[in-house]
Formats: sequence, C-alpha cells, structure tokens
Amino acid sequence: MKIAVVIALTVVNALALVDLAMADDSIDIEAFRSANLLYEAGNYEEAARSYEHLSRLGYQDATLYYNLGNSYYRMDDRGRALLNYLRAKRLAPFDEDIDVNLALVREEVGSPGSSQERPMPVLGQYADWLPWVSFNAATSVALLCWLVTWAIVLTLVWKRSLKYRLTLRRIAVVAGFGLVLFGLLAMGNQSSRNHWSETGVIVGQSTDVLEAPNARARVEINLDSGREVGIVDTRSGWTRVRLPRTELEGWVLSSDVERVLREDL
Amino acid sequence: MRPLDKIRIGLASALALILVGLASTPLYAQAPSVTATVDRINLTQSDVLTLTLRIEGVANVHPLPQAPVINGLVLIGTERKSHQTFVQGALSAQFEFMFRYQPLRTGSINIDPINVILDNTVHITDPITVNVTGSPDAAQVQTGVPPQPTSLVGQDFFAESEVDDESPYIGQQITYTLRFYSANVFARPLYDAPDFAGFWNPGRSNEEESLVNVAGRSYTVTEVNTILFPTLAGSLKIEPTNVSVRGGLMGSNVNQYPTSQIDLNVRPLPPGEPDAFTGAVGTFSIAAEMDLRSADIGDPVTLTLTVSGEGNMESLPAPEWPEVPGWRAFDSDAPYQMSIVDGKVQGARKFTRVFIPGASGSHEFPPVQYAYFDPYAGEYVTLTSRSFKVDVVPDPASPEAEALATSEEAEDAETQDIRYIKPVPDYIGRPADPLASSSVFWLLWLAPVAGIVAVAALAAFSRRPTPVPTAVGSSAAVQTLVARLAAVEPGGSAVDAASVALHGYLDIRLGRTTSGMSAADISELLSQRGVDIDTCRRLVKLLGGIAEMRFSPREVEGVEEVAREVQAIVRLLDEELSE
Repeated sequence: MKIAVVIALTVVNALALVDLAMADDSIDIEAFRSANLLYEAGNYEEAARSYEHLSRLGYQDATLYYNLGNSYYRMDDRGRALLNYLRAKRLAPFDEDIDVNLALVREEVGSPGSSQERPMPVLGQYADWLPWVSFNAATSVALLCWLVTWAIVLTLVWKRSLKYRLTLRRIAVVAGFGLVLFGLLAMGNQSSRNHWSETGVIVGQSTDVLEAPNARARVEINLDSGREVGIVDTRSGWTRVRLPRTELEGWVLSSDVERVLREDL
Repeated sequence: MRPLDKIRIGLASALALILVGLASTPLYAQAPSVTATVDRINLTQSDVLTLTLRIEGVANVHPLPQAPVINGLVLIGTERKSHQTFVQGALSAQFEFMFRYQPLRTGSINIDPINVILDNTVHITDPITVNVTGSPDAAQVQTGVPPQPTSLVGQDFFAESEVDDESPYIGQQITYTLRFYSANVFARPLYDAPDFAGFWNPGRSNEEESLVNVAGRSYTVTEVNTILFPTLAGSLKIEPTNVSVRGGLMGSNVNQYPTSQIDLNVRPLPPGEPDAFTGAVGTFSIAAEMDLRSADIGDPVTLTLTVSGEGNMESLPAPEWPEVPGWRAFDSDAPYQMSIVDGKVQGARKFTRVFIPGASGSHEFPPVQYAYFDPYAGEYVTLTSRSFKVDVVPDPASPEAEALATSEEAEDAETQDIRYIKPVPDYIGRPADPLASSSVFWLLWLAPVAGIVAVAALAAFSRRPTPVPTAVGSSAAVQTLVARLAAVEPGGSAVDAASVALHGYLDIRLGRTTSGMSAADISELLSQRGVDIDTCRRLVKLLGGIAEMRFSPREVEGVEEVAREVQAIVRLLDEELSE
C-alpha cells in the first residue's frame, strides 16, 4: 500500500514539474523585472503597460496579475485593479496578499465583503483546494490511475495464481481512488474555469446597462467601475450581463466589461 | 420472386424513401424570421386595426412579445396562434401574435420597429405607417350576413351561439359558446370564428361533442367554448360565426350556417376605485417576499409580489410600488403562468422590483397594496402585503461611518493601503494546451478495451485442445528431451531426471505408460515395432544401469555417461521407429 501511495505522489509531482518546465520564460523574466522597477519608481502607467504586454504574450501568472492590479490601483482605475486581483485569485486562491488587496478594492468600489461575488460551483471549490494541481496534471493522473486499475484487473483475471495477487489488489484499489479523486479534480478545475470565464468586471467608469443591444434602448441601471457581473451572452460589440444574486440582466458595450478568464488566452 | 424477397425489397424501398426524405428536409429548415404586418393601411376611426407579428423557424418564443405601445392607437385585444411542425427531427413552429388596436385620432400613425428576442438574438421588424381618416370607408363596410335560422325545427344542420353574461364589466371573463347541431354523422363542420374585436382572447377553446334528440331527430352537437375578456366599455358585438359544411357530390358544395350576432353591453368599472387600483379585474390574492433582510450599500435587494387567482394574467397590471427614500428601484420581468380550470382562466403572476440601497441604516419597506375589481361582487377589493425591514451596512467611506468609528479605527482606515507588489518569480506561469484537446489522450482512455480483447484472446488460445504427439515424426519432442538431458548436472537427481526423460519418451512413442514395466517387456514392445534387436539390448542395459544408480546407497559415478547414453538411445530409437 505504501509503495502505491509513494508511486502516485511521485507521478503527481512529476506532472506538476512538467507543467512548470514547460514555461520557457528566461527573456520575459527580464521584462517582468523591468516592470517591477517601473512600479517602484512610481511610473505606474508604464509598469501596467509592461505587465499587460506580458499578459498578452500568454502568461497567466498570479504574481503578474497581482502586480498589474496594484499598478491599476495606483492609477485609480479600481475596475481594472479588481479585475486583475480576481485573475490573480483564480490562480492563487489562498494568497493572503491578493485577498487583502481584493477586499480593499471591493470596499472602495462600494460592495465590501462577498456580497457581490458570483458563487463558485461546489466542484470548482474542490478544485480550488488543490490549486497546484493543474487541469492537465489532474487529467493525466486520472488517466494513469485508469490504466493501472485496468492493467491490474486484467492481470488478475488472466493469471489467477500470482504470488503478489494481494499487493496488486491493493494497488488497484489505490488507483481506483486516485481515478475518482483526480477525475473529480479535473471536473472541478473545468468548473472553476467556466465560472471565471463567465465572471466579468465592469471597467467602464459609468456604464449604462440597457434593455436591448441598442444604443437607443432604455437604460435599466447604471453600474460603476469595479462591479462584478455574470456574463450571459456576447454578440457584435454588446455583452449581456447579470447582476449577482438577482435576475437583473441587461446589455452593456463589450468594451465596458472584461472577463476574468480571458477567452483569447 | 419469392414473397419474402418482395417484402425485403419493399422494406428497402421504404427505408430509401425515408432517407431521401430526411436528406431533403434541410431544404425546409429555415432561420428564425420575424415579420410584422397590418391588415389594412387605410382605416377609419371606427375600424379595428390588426397588427400581426409572425415568428417562424423557432421551436418556442420566450419571452413572449408584448403588444407595442403605438402613439394614436389603443390596444383593445390580443390573440395568439401557433402551428408546430417537426423539421429535421427538431420542433419548428410558426407563431402569430395579433394585436388589435382602435385609432384614437386621424392622420398618419407610425408603428415603430418591434424588437423580438429569439435565442438571445434581437430581431427587428420594419416600421409601418397607417393612415386614419375620420369617416367610415364605405368599401370596408361588410355586407349583411345570410339569413339565420331562428331555431332548430328538424333541419339537418343548425348553428347557435351565446355568451354567459351579456352585460359584463370591462375586463371580466365571459364565455362565448358556439353549438352546431348536425344530423349527418359524416359531416365535418368548419368554423370561421369571428375576430372578437374589443375582446382579449387567450386563444384557448374547449370543444366537446354530445348527442341530443330534438324534434324526433338525433343530432350530434359540437360545442365550442371560447373565453373572452372585454377590453372596451360600451356596446360591443360579436359577429356571427359561420359554420361551413361540405355537401353535394364529392363535397363540391359548401353550405354555410351562420349564428346570430350577439350584442353586449360592457359596463365600465364603477367609480370609487381605491388609490392602489391599477386595473386588475377578477378575484386575486397576493403574497410578498423580500430576498434579503440585510445588505451592503449597492447590493440589490429584490421584492417579489405574487398575485394569484382568477382573471386575465397576461394583462394583469403591476402594483403601485412603494417609494423607499434613499433606494434606487428598477422593475424586472413579470413572468406569469395561466391555465383554464372549470372554464375559468386562473394562474399567477410574479412582479419583482429590484431596490438598491444608497444609504446605510435600518430601512422600513412599507406594505405593498394591490387593489382589484371583483366583477361578481361588484366592488373593489384592496389587499395589503406585509412590510419588511432591511438593514444596510454603513459604507466605511461614508461620513456617518467615520463619525461612528473610534479615532483609532479612523487612523487605521487612513493608513489602510494595498499590499506592495511581489518580486519577480523564478518562472512565469503560462498555461499549457489542455490534454483533453488531444485525440491521443482520449485514445489512451480506450486502451483498456484493447487489454480486454487481448486477455480474452489469450484465454481462448490457452483453452484450445493440446495436440497429442504422435508416434511418428516427434523429432521436436526428442530435441526437447535431448536438450533437457544436455542440461543435466552431475548428481543423484540427474539420474532421476534421465530416467524420467527416457520413460517419458517411451510413453509417447509406445502410447502407454512404461514406468511400471520391466526392461524386458519394453524391449519386447520395441522389437514388435521394428526396432533393431541390438538397440533393444542396449536399452535394456541402460535401464538396468539407471536402476542400479538410482537405488544405490553410495555415491555413484558416471552419471554424465548415462545422460549421454540416454541421448544416444533416444536418437537411435527415434530413427528406427520413424522408419
């Protein structure tokens, strides 16, 4: 049994390391360092531009988003600050610095606490407990457990008089548990991803929510920058948003709202 | 051709036709389309204008389009029709929403484009302009209806109609009943219902058939009940309903049997309506609910008022919502459900209003009042919901919160700031392509299937009957035996191995067990099979030597020679037995 556990943990660690090793960022580290220097020098706009550049290169890093959020906060752009803190929180749900800054910005935009947050699905919460296990790692381990379970089952069926029959059975049980655990983790990871993809933040300074995707439509409500909304639909320059915990929906210009999980990445 | 073949060919042809039909169905599939039309462009003030909103190519319409508000026209009735078909396995339907208006003024009246949301896509109709004149258009005056029979006196067909209340209140439900008597059981009547101008018709009718005996003849009576709500006060008429029955040879003649016109005197609602009255007619009850009792500033709080009972749910007006100082308020959707139970339209409608607090403190939401006119009692009824109290948490940045805060807390608030940026990490995270997008990943999940097949094949292979070596041509067995003997190591056990191997070979070759036989008997059997007598003697001598070595109490020598002799004898026997 101990051997099986050790093997499983080794595989998980190996997969996590594979994820890390895939990042070939030696050049962009320097750009990151330069952005930090700009921030420290008080040049927040340039710092934000540099962080945004790294973000557009495809990097999704909690530290990157956190620092970008700080830059926007210093520029008094609470909406984009909140947006990037949420992006950072998605990647590092237990980071205390992110939580503190996020709570502060939420208070400043008028909705302290968790009242305006969109509730995360249960499976997504489960995935957030193990943020270091990526979707790829979870699915890989689940696949490995699946293959091991079947290999042992087939071996036991084929060779009925094996010396290590009991040991193999124990490994199969461990692999079965691993399959369920990491399978749920992969599903939770996807659920969390969907949640953040459907969560948006109003970044326009004073955004009219219209009854229809038409500039002449009736204004239902006006939202300040930093308001967290659910994204229901997007079409031709308009995004349909829903206020959390209500059925209040309306259309805003797509440029006035940004998703926490960007589709282009 | 055999009958079975004919059936097969028939089935194949039918299947081919179905496939061709399925393949051709996309020709009929269509994208959703929304069109708005009017039944006339020029009309007089006494005419009724019907605006038809036609929606095609969708399975369902949600939310239902509302009657557009048109400057210069007043809505007097709506009607809804739908026709559903299955196209390419999917339900497709045509919906028609007919809104009837009466002009309020003369001149040109514009009907603005109507927005209809279908599958989250907004469809916009073309604008329409109608021209209203002051005098009736003689060309549009209808000609008189055919003479109507006054009673059923034994004729083949007879139609009559009535309403259950000829002087209802405006907005009160009445039931229009059409009865058609037919003495011909094969007749299939067709109804040309009047347009019910001045009434709102939910579009739901109940149809029943029964048998009666009148004037010595038996009639099949078809009764059609239509629920109506008068939308205008004053004298209203329901035009005759024409019932058509085909007659003559091959149904070439169409005979019409019109009912008589029905005149109603729709009473306006009596004066003295309460302040909370917004136009509801029927019998209702209300229930109010608030989703939160405490909120932060800027948080939406939803107040829901559910009105349920008997009446026109579709046009049930919203209540007069109370104003709450310091709160912004927004109306939301008012979904409703409606059904007909015992001939009465009943259901419920949920009115919701979203309130957003702008100031902290404890806020009292006054009760919501909802008044309606009960047409059966002939009086207004006012219902009152419960009140609600909502506590709004103060905004830390507000002056009142600052006043409440202690000096120490205020100092903390002043020094509150975001935490500093983080140092550059050793690596910058970049998401990898999801494995789930790789086909190899999913093929690996199917790998156990290959394993199951392999194990099943191996199991089947292992269970096959083992071929028994024949006496002739067993050179492979001999080679195996020789190879085993060549691997024998010196020692007592090696003698046993040589003995077992030799007897094993002889068992196969002679087709019987030789372990219990004497050397002489074995020699006799071999000589009978044509083995040379010298070879037989050599074998007897070898068997004797093996026996001596196996049962000797002392350590014996020459084991290697015995093994070699066994190999030599076996090769010799194999050659001679093969010959």
